Amino acid sequence: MASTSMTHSQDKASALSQGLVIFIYLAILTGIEFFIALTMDSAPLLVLVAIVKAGLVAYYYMHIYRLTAVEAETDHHSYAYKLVSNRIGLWLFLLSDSFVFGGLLTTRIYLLGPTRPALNQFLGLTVTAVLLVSSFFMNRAETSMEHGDRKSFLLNATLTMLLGVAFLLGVVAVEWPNAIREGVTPASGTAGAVFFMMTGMHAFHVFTGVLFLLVVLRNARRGLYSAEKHWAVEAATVYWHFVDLVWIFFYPALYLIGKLIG
Amino acid sequence: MSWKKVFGTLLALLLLVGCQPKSSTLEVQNAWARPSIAGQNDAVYFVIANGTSQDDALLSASVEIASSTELHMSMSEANDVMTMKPMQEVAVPAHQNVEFAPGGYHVMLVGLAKPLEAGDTFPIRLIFKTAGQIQVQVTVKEQ
Amino acid sequence: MDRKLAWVGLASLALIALAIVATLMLGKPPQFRGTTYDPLVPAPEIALKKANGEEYRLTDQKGKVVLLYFGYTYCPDICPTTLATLKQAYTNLGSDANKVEIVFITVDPDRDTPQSMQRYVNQFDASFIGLSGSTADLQPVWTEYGIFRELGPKDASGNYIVSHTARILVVDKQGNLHLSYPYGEQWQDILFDLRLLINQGGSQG
Repeated sequence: MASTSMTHSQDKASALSQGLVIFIYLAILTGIEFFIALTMDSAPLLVLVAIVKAGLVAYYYMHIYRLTAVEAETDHHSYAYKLVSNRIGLWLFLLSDSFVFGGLLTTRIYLLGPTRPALNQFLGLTVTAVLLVSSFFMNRAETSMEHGDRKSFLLNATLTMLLGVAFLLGVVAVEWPNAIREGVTPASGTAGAVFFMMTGMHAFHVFTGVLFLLVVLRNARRGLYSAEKHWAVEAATVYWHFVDLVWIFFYPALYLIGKLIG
Repeated sequence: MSWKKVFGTLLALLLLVGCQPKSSTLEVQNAWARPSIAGQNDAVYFVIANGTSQDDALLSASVEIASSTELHMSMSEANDVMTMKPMQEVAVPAHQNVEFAPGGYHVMLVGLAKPLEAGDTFPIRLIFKTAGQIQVQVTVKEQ
Repeated sequence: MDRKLAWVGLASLALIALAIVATLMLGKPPQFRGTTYDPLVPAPEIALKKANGEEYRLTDQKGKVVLLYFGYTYCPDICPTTLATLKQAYTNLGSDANKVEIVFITVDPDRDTPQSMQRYVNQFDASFIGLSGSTADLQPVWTEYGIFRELGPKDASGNYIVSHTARILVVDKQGNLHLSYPYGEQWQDILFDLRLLINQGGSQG
């Protein structure tokens, strides 16, 4: 049988601990980011931290390196070949989705410049933490599936989904009404419009990510996936981390620009 | 598979419906003015949306609550000097929006007869070259 | 833990630490968003009558940040828009509001009295100060602050427009002209700079 890209280059324990370590790095970096925002007015520093966080997520959680791990497949009907094609397709889709988010980010930079909308920092930090933790569990879930542990996959994927829902509620049911109460509404001016457009578009992606996870959970419960064949799980995982990655840039862009004075 | 055909046709229809031009009339939208005190001047702002295929122009305006109105355009001259230019008419080309907003076009109300407070409304009659007279309600708000 | 992973973590931290140090060391003094007067000049004295008959002296206001704007009450668009912007910034100062003063000085003394100026600014905030005086009192102020003014032609009812410099000028706590903004500046930028000025140095006088 042709070798799949599913080579277990790590054993389960070290894969899981790697996921945990990366999460700890991300958490520390988020703390540093917040500290920078509190004490300095330096957008370039925030960008740097965001890029480092994004790099960690893209490499360790989204396995972007698997795009280059293309083995010479002579059999175009093999699972391995299709897997390679699927991955390229998924990343192309993410690239196109990045244009949407990139456009929104560019709009924010152009329209708001060095100012930021008046938002609740505690809420911002909380929902960011929730999304980060959800990525941790998503990685755990994927690692479990890669090693054939269906029960662990179901548990961790469910946790991911619940945290995703918590994020959605945090944004739509808490942050939005709070912003509106503060006078930041979709029609209150450029700051409000930008805020709602960015968080709305992002939240919509979280929502579809949750739906994706529901489908994958259902299929997993029916035993449709195995350690060797679980493309849908990988796709849902990479999509989920992508949504987290977008927030890695959106969070500082919306909440942390300019020195946080109280 | 006929399912696909049905879905495809529906989708095409939806897209076509979405492409319809929205309105083929000239409308005045979102008219607002700031609060002010009696005897003072004020400015009315709005958006003229010309959905017709004919060029038009705003010729004049009238309100009951001020002794007269004038069309003005605020503009900056050299060295951050701001001034206002009275306009005989303001062109509203076909299929275009013309915005009357702070720092640009506005209808100046000369000498308010009574104070205006946030939340009040009053009517304004706008006379267009082609569209004739259009009356809208102006909302008084702070910003 | 994987050795490579540890290196990734350390390298990231090192990179960021380096960037923070570089930013701090190469850091510039607080970046104002308005145009700075360079060098700072002491703000020329303004001594004009307030609506209640008392005299207002700019030099007595040291310790506070003073925003000066020149306009007239017959102005329907530019002046209300600017004062509304200043009000937005002022309202968002919160507890720092008592360290900031907003002063509206007329360029149309023939029609504007101190009382009508104060009535005008009261619509925005009762703590704003409206000032007027005779043309003889005001001309030196306009000149020293670089405020251009030109009366337009009178129409049939005797009304006229006044073209005038619409910049907002900011005097810091030490009584120096520190910043200015063009017409149309966003209140958030003004607020940002006000906070910098309020927190700057000690207060004198």
